[in-house]
Amino acid sequence: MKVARLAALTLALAVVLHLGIVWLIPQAITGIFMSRVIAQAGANHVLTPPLPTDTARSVVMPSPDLLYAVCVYDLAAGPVRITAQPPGGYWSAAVYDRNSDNIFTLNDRDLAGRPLDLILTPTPNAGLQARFPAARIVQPPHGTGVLLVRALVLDATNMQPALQAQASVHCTPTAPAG
Amino acid sequence: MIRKLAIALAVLLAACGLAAGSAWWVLLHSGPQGVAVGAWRMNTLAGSANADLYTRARVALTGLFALNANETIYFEASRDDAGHPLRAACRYTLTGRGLTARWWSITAYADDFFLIPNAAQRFSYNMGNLAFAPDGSFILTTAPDAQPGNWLPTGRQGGLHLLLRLYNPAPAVLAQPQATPLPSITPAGDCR
Repeated sequence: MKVARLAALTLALAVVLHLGIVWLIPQAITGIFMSRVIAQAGANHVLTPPLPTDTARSVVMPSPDLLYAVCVYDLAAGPVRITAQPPGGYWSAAVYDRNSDNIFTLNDRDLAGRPLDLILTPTPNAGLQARFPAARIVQPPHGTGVLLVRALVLDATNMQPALQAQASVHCTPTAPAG
Repeated sequence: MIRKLAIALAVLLAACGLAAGSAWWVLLHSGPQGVAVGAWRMNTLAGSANADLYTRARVALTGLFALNANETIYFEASRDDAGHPLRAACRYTLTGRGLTARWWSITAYADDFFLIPNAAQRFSYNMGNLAFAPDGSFILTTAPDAQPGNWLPTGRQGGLHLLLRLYNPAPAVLAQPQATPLPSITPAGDCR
């Protein structure tokens, strides 16, 4: 009887721990990635890695056809503004929560030739929209996460526009509107 | 007292082992859950804030920072059409036609889910650089050694994972991913 009780206790504990591990994995992996980016570029700064090859080891399953720009946003001090100029061809800016969820995406078709103007804010703030009327304002569920910009590189001919688009990405804290 | 502590420790260790082992098996060896099209598997919740606990963890381990399905659909294959695990040392033929998306690509990954080193520096094919037959079909060969036509190098050791990305998929693909005609994957000769 005592053995059966211990087995049941072990099983119940294992179920709880199992769920905890599965919940923790995305947070931990995203957290490690964010720490690495912060160590290289700092929070609210853009990292511009080269086109992924077999030596790219920071994120699993990178696309070798996409030039990425990365910014780890931290809204502790207030909103962060992201601006960029898409090239011709496929391009997207995706916002990820700290648990790796893709919470918001805009691509070049959505922008229809306009530059990207996106503001991430920790709290609703009507003054921001008045101050930046052309900006899309997004309130992520948590104060930290990742912005990933992707620009398609089909061949050598559109490498230069993709590099220019990558260099045009800016991620900067902006003072909250009063 | 010492006996009770030893029992408690044994229960805790056993529970930790069971929890970690079952998580490892479910996330990495039970295969992606969701829609199956031939050898390909996809989950429309990948990258989504509506993803369940297991989908989110599996994506973090094998495809961190996936885009949501409206932006991109990912089909992954780790087995051939007959259900046998793909092996890097073997030659496979992928036969298909153009896909209905703004652009699409097929990329080969090693067991560690990173790109495979190769002298040709060829890691993927996409709709722009894949050679098509006049009837719109294509044949893509994955193999460790150079092959005529569309050749995707695979290395020589371990398993092989193929990822088909459909960026801005057509509405019909989003509505019925299970009806999407995808390339077949068949063994094409011996293994090196």
